[in-house]
Amino acid sequence: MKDIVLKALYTLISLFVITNYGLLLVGTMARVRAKVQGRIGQPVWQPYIDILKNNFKRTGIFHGVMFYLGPVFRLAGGLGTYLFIPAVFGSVVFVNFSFSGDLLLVMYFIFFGQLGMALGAGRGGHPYSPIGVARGLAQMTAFEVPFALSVIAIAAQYHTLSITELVAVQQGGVLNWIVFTNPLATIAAMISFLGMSMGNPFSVVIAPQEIPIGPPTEMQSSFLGMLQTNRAIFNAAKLVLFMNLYFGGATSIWMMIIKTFIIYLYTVVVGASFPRFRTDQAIRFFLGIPTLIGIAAVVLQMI
Amino acid sequence: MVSPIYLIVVILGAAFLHPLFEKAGKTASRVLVSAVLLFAAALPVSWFVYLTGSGIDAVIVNTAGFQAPLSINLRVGMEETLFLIMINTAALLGGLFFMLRSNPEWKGKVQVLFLTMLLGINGLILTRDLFNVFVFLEIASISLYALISFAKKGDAYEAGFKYMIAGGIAAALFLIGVIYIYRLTGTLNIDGIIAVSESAGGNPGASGILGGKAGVTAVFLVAAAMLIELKPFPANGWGVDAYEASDPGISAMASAVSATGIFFVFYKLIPLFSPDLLKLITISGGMTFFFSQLLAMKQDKVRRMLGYSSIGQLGLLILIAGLGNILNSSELLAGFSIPGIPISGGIFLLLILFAGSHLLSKAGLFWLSGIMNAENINGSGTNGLLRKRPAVAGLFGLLTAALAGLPPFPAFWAKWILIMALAATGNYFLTAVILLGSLIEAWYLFRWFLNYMKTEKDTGDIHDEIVPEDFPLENIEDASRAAGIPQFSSLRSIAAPFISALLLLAAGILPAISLLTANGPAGVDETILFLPLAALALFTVLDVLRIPIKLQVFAGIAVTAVYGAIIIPDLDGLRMIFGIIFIAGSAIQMFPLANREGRHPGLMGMLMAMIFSLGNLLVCKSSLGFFFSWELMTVTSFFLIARGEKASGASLRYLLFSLAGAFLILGGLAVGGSSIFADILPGQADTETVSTILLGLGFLIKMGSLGLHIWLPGSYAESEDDISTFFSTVLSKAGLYMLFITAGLFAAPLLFPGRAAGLFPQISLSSLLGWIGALTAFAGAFLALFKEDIKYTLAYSSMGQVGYMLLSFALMTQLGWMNSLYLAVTHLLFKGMLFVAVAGVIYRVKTRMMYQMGGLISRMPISFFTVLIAIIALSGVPPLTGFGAKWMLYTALIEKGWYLQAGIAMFASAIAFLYLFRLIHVIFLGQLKDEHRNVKEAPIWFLIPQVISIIGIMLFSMYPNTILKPLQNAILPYFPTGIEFDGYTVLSTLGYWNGNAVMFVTMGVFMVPLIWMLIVQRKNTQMVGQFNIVFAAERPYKPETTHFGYNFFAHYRTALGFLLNPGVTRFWKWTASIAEVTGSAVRKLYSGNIQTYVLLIVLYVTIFLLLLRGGF
Repeated sequence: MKDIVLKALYTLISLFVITNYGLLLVGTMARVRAKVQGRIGQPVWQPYIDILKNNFKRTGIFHGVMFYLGPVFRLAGGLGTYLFIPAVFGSVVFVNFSFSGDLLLVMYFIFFGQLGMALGAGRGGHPYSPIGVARGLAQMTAFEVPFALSVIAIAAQYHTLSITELVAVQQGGVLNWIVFTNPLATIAAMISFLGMSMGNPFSVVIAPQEIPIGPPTEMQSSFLGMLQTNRAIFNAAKLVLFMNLYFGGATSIWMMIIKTFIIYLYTVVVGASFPRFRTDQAIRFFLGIPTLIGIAAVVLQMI
Repeated sequence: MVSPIYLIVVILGAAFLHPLFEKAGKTASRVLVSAVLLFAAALPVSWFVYLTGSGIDAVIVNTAGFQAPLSINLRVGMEETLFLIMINTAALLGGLFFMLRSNPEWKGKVQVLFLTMLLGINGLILTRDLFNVFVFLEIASISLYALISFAKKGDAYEAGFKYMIAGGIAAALFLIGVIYIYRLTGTLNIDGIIAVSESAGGNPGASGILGGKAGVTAVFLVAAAMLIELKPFPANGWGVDAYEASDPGISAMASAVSATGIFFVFYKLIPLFSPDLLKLITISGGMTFFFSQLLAMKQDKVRRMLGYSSIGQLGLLILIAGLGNILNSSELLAGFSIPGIPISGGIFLLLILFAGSHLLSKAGLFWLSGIMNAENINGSGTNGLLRKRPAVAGLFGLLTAALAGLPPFPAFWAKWILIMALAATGNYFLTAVILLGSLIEAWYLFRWFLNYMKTEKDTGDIHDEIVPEDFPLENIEDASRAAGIPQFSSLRSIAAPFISALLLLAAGILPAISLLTANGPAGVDETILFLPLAALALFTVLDVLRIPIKLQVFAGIAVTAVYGAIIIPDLDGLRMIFGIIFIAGSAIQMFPLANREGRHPGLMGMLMAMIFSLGNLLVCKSSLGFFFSWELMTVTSFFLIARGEKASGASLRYLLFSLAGAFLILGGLAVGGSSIFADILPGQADTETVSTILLGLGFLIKMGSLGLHIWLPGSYAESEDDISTFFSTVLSKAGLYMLFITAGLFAAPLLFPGRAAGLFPQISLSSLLGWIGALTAFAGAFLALFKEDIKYTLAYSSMGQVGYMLLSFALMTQLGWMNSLYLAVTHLLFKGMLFVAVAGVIYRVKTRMMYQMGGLISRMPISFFTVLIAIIALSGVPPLTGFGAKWMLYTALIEKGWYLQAGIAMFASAIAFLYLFRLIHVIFLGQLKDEHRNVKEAPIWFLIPQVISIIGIMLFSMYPNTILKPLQNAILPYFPTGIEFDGYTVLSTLGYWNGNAVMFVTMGVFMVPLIWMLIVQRKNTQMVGQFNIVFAAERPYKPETTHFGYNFFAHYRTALGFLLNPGVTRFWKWTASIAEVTGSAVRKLYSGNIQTYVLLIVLYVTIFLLLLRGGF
């Protein structure tokens, strides 16, 4: 019993940290983007204001049970993804529930929230929701290919799919990081990551959200609040995953913050520098050079 | 024993006395003819009883008071008796057909000619005198010419004339041959000639009296004359003209009575033929068989097609007769006997099976063609009407199946023995020719059948979805209009084909008893294999008794449950898993059938037979038992698919591919020789590679692997909605099961003979299977992506899922096999749910086009929930069962080092998300259409299997060990070291997975936001209507324009649409067109001109002679 209470406490701490970090990260990066574009930008704490405002709106309308559950699924997906990843190497508090499964579990659990959200948005009856989902899913299938190849390559290299073990083998020096031991796999995965984080040039997925239609307008009030919360957590979870896989993980919470900040900054820099692809162009892009790099990484493990 | 002379006397006497009786009235003459026919059929039966009772080999009866060489003698042996029984029974049925038919009336000269023809044939069979053969041949032929012309149409006269010319040439050749033989041997008695030629040379043709140039030519002339009478390719145009032009009753007799009788004479004369001559005869027979099938395929007239088919069958008989000495050396044939028939071993039994099967089925089909007024193959004017005559349709199907040599009919057993014997004696080329010919035969016969069975809506070439041009709102109404019941010319005379079908069934059971029971060649009792037939019979009786379909379904479920309870507990691990899939899976999915109303003749019978033959695959012990069950499964499933409203094209393709697969398996069994049923463990195989490849191809066809899959989408999608699920979830795993129990063959490194051995030293077939599996998984998912028709989506999805199973199997590792079985079990659950739920939806909304649905979640919430669970399970999203499959798959692939295959599998599984989301979104989410505002939840019968499956999925998801541990135990004999379990955590060398913990974490993280949401939204929240959306300052016009569903992944098509190029389909169409073009080219020989025909006869004889003599 004591164990369970303790584990629950650790989980709450872990979630608290990642939520706040995620929200601040979103706020910071919005500011960075504004600077690039020559604006002042929003305050760093703007995400907190948005979420609170949305959660305490007086009216809320919904389109049936599935619509209601969509954001719930979405946030559950974000929370789950994070909880299946050990966030800080060697930390009892931040080991989360990584004993439940390995890297494959995380890769597939990412879809849990996406699927639920897609269903909720679809239930809203708005045609732009499925258009956005169709674009997002299509792009997802494409960027999964180089990422999957990259994961296969490193699993083959280190004979493990356990994230904890993958972090363990990267300890003991910067040159042990997979970014140096397997640069091809890292390059393939980092290109995929651009698609995964849906920034430019792969942002056409969220285009329906920019004009005032689609899920963010249909999903108003606390629904929207939940989606915004999730965006912070989910984003942070993905960053932690990539940090663990390619950049040596983190032995302390500060190291985690620095590394994930830099990884996120990379997507923002790329995003600020490029225009966006159409969906079909994005698909072809991911199945082109990045996939070839991924195949090269895999083939290197075979010979 | 009644002397055979009475047979001749009575028939001849009746023919002479007929005019007197006719004077007394039509009835009197009819009674006379019937009595004579009855006598002619009964007399040989009495001989049979006498011969078997007394044990005498044969009774020789001399005529005119002299001994044999001086007089003509008649021989009544077992061979003559059996042929006479068959022929005279056919004649009796022929008489019955004529008598029951009202138009044209059965009277007058036709009856006389009919009797004289029968007399001639009976005489031909009995006589042992060569010149007498000529006399009877003339009697029979002249009667037949007249009978052909009896149709009193221009082309019938012409055909009779052509027949006469050809017959005249044959008779002349025969007579010249007889003269020379008489000159050389000094006797006309066949036994005498054989004795003389053997005593002089020991071997006819070698150096004996008949071995010289004159002797060879003389015997050749006799043989050639008989061959011409049997219509060899290409000198047979006159024969098909006759079949086409004459009255169907006469055509039946020409094929069944006349041709079979003449073949017997040919058979009788074989001892005279030299080995060289026999070789040429074999070649001629083989060519006739093969090219006749090709030609038959190109025909558009029913009776011409049947005529070619007849000629082809005679070619097969000639081929067997020519190969007699070689085949007799085969062990299988030597040990073969038919219960009740004292002859054991030897080709005669094969001949009697083939001839008997052909005679009854071909006559039956000729009669049926007359009854149905069937002129053209395409069946214009009969579309769908035959479905209202289930008895006629059933009879049609039975006779077609019998002619095509499908189980349980006699030709099936004969084909099995023939192929096994041919392969055992090294005649691989002939094996291939016969199998290919049989395949073509099944193709055109069933094409005819399906053309007559198909509905008005069915164009016959539907293999892919047909998306309507525009929004067809009228599609909603039920378009099945009541059409009239077809009026057949004289339905009463159907008694004749009906009796033939019954006789065929009975005749099929006899060899089965000898082959599949304990005293058969395999020495194991496999009586249980007849269970499917018993079930078919039982449910047919229920149909006839008009037992309501609901009761039949419940009876079916009960019977299946009992069957499962009996056989499953005795199975070993691996078989038990598949037993549960096949039997329990089928039983559960039968519930939706209980929703049907009205009469569905044949539905439950075929379904039960299919399930039982599938289950019997698990218990069969011999290769034959397996092959029998496999073919039976194919046939019954074909008839089930053909029930679909637009399924004729798809079902034909299914049958073709399935039969091709079955023939490949047959070839593999024949080449491999050894029984494949001692489970071949990895590393224990010693069978030849060729055999393995043939078997593997056969299994892959059944699984619908890439390249061999083009039958799959149409069959799954066009079959009836509540039937499709059986094909996808149960039947597709038959191939997988066979792969599992023959795994050792595929794990072994390839052993190529000779020079090829060095080329592929390290490759085993399993790595090839792995690639096929991975690419199938990808192709299935990718093709499913662009389908608007929900059933085609599911069909391609099934194909992809089976690809994963194949890939996992091919790994040949413990985790791989576990995953393959895990997928097989869970696929049953989630794909069953999808198919059944979708069937329920289609049942309610009356369309299969997804974009025409939408928003159904509010009308059909339970179906939505089922589909939701199913797609989560299928796509592999944690926490449901599907993730276990993905985890094991990738772990096993990476452990094995199959990295690229793992990459393809991941891509495929990502694409699966796309079509799954589309499926659930476009049907259940988005905008509800106006016409669907009042649809109800699917009927309870559809929901029962869904709920059971949901419970199963939830159980396996929550406690994965409940399924993983049994699977692990099942494959313990193959992989003794188990994977490690740590509580609920499964450990691999690479990683770990704790399904139980995942489930709890997921539930936890789901509850937190849900509770939060319930708290903050506890008031001021209202549900709004469907159009209450923020629509960019515009107002949505109507659901149709607001629902996004059509061409959902247009961008994917833009990006990767080039992959949709149907290269595989084109390849198979190209293959089919080769057969068609060859057929057309060969058909050019048949000008319809008698001069050409005569020229062909002369050329045939000349070339034959030149080949025989090795030059001029």
